[in-house]
Amino acid sequence: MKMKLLVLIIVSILIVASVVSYVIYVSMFKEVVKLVIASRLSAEEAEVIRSAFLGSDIAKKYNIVDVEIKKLDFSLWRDLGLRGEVDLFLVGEAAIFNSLCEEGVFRAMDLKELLDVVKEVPQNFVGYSKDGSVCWVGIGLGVYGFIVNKEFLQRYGLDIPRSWLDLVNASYAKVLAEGRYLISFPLPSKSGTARTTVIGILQRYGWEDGWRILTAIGSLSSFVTSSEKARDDVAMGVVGVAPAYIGYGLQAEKVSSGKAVFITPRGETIPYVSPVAIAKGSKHLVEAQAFILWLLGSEGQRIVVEKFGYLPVRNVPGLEAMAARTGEALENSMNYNTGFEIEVREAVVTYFEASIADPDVNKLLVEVMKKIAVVKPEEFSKWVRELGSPLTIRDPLTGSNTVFTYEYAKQISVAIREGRVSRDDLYQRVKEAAISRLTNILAELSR
Amino acid sequence: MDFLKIYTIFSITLVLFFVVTPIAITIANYNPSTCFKKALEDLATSTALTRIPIEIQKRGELTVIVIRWLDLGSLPNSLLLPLIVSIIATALGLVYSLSMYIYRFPKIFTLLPLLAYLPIPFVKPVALQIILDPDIGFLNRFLKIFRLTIRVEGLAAVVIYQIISFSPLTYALNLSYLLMLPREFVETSYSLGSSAKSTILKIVIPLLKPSILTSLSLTYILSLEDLEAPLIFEGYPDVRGLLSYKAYTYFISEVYRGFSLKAIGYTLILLLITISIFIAIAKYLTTVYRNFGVALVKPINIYRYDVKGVGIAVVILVTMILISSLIPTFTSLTYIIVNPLTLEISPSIVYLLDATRIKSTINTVIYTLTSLFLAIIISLPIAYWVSRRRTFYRLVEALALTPLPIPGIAIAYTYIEMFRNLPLNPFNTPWIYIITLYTFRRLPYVYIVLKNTISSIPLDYEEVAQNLGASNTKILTSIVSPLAISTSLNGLAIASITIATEVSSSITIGGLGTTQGWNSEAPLIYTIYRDITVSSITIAGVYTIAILIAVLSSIIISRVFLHYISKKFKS
Repeated sequence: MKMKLLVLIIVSILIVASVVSYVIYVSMFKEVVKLVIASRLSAEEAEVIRSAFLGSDIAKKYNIVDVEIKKLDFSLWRDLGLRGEVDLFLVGEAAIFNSLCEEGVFRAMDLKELLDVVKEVPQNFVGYSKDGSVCWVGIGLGVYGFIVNKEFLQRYGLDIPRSWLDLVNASYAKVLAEGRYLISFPLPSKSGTARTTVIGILQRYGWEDGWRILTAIGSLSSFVTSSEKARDDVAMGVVGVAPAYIGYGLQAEKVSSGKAVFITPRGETIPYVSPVAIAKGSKHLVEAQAFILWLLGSEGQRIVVEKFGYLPVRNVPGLEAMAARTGEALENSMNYNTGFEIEVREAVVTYFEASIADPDVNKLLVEVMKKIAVVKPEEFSKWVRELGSPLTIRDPLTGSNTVFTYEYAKQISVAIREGRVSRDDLYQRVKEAAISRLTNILAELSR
Repeated sequence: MDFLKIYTIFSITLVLFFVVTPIAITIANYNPSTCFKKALEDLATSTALTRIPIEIQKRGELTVIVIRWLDLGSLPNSLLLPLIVSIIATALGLVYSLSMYIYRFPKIFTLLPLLAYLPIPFVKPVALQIILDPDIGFLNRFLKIFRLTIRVEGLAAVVIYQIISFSPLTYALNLSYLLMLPREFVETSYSLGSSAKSTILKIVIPLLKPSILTSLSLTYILSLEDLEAPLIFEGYPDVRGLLSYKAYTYFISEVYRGFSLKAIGYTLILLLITISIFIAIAKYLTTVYRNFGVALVKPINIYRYDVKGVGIAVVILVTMILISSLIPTFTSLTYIIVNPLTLEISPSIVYLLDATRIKSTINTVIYTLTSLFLAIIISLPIAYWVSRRRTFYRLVEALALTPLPIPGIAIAYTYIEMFRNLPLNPFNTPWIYIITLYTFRRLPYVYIVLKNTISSIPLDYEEVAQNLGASNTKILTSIVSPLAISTSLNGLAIASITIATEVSSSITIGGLGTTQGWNSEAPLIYTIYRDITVSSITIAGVYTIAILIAVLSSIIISRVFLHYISKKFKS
């Protein structure tokens, strides 16, 4: 009996203690929050942001105990954002952020403290929705250029290129005869860096000349599936050139002990804003905005400047000097139009991959380049013109023959987005046309 | 209905639900004939370059030996390359296993190539690239002293990597099978005065038909589906033309929504080829796998010939080739101390003690053990049914072996598509799906081991127990399972290696959850995949150690636990 009473007393005490503890806990402590962020940051970059933020006063104030930064393909962002599987989207191309904003994947920012800070950010670094609310905001301004490996170029007696256009030169094709490639170029469907570079060249040199330059560059390239692989190839000296954003350029310079150098190509350097936005389905709206507030604050801005090589988007004392390299880079920059990218993205990526990077096409392209560089160097420009002019393809929509013009690219991009044409069909038609042209050129060169 | 029937139906239902249904739904959703058509259209436009496989070029004073693949176009390359790899790898494994079996060699020679069997995904091909690079590779730095360079291009590099990776496997398969043969065959031949050559040609090789066919077929399938080497050597267009690479790279894109029909078409072609091969060798596969792994532990007890004459030269040559398969592993290990390219001291310990790497190593051990135990629980009734009951046993066995020929990438993406709208989906709880995929993708390996062990348990034990009044449940749990598990520990250890080093699910679903710090849910293979492409070779040594730790921990823990469980059940 006594034993039973003792057990009863202990159980009662435990229950009361638990209830009291719970009440104290609830009244004293707020709910802890974990933010989940979909991003394009590499693992190292994500870790820098995560650890710095978790140690910040803002994280403590808003009881944010963890931040999970996932590198996820853009194709998954929409669903995850709407379903609330992620709270924020961080870093990527402004054009993609604009598209997602239009599709209603983002939640408007409404924290007064944050909106006050956003007012200080140059307005071309802010994305607005149709109703005028803030959809996304830039955290920094970076540039796309390319990395060169001086040792590789020296080995083959080549000059350091100062622009993408410089590479359209017969002398660079001599590495092909040695069984090597000059450039490591990521597939535009897998890398934002490659996509922006391709679209940038089309904007800078116009549709027709742009494709000729891209075809010549493609004939010197080995194609890879990520910009990280391209960066590592050039840093190690496996190739001489690779497109990159300034952050990867600085990393390559560091790990190669100066053999690799980041170049901001003359008139081709593409400035870009790295945005952040809140997911429509986020359950932590205030905390997500607190994270953005931190990124736009002095500590967040210092990190994006130091680690990613960005220019700050706000006036933070001392940071402009640290971002001098990017500042200089902007002197070489072009006026990049994200509207153009939105219009033709699907068509350009498919055309590039089918007419230049496709393994069957690329084999022939390299053979052609070897021949025109060695056999008839004086006629090099003429051959490049013939090689890279936009192809006439069998339109997968109508079945009739059509030249791949800018206007056509706009129409077919819409058709792909709306599901009226599959990307596989467009790819196949472009590939067939490219192989036919290259086979004819090879036959002509062999005569 | 008895317990065994219910248990077997339950296991089969799980296989149907987690393997057959997802693939069937995906195929149905995407119209297989359209997918095939698109893939075939693409293959029809493939191009081939006529070129000499070995060419000697002069570059100033330097002699360059170029080794390349005879390019025949995308589909012929994809079909012929695995054939060449499987023939050479099987021949090497066979010659070496016969040498070890027939001639007297110290035990170390038997074990050495087995060390290279340990797969270190992504690290080993990168190491090979570092060795072979024409300008910065070790081999050519050395050869340049003699004004000589070897340049291995594209698919030729893939072939070399796959041969040195798979020949230890073919060696282990053939030696394990040889050790199962009655020793009297060789000993009688010896005592009747036959030479080593005629003993090998007239007696041993004819008996080895099942293991030779299994080696050829397995290495063919492994080579056909391999993604590691193609991803590392992807810079060459002939490598990007391989079916496995095309299926992987075009499946999902940053620019478009949904799967590429062409990529599904490639996957279906791969599936058809592997299923056809698999059906052809299924009866040999289970026999050969019976004792797979015994070469690791069992001494060779037959009377053996003294090696002499040409035999010495052949054995030395094959030994060198097989031991060369250890070079990428050793190169990776070198990076723990020093970067062999720059001779800079490597800060490996700092890298190894990083929270993400420690956690992903622990994750791999946990996922491997959980998956192994789940696979044992699911396989046991199926293995027992196929061994003891004759009703539908062929169908039941076929279902248990179904996951073997299904390409991992196909099933992983199918899981993402199929389960993405569940409350516990691959994005918020990826570990559930990683464990599920590991369990079912490696189920056939566990099933084969258990089925062969159960088949070899004398029926008398069960009959005695039955006569003493034991129920089917009691017989399965107290007699068959403990015996089967305790005598399958070597085979299960090999199954746990294949789980811990699984690539396809690890690099797809493995990266969907938290991948950073102590909260990382990613398996080690994902972290390696991410870092080897990001930070490159400097951390290769760290990952070689991490994978060894993960694999050895999984083997030791599973052995101790399974041993304990089988003893507990016996008592």
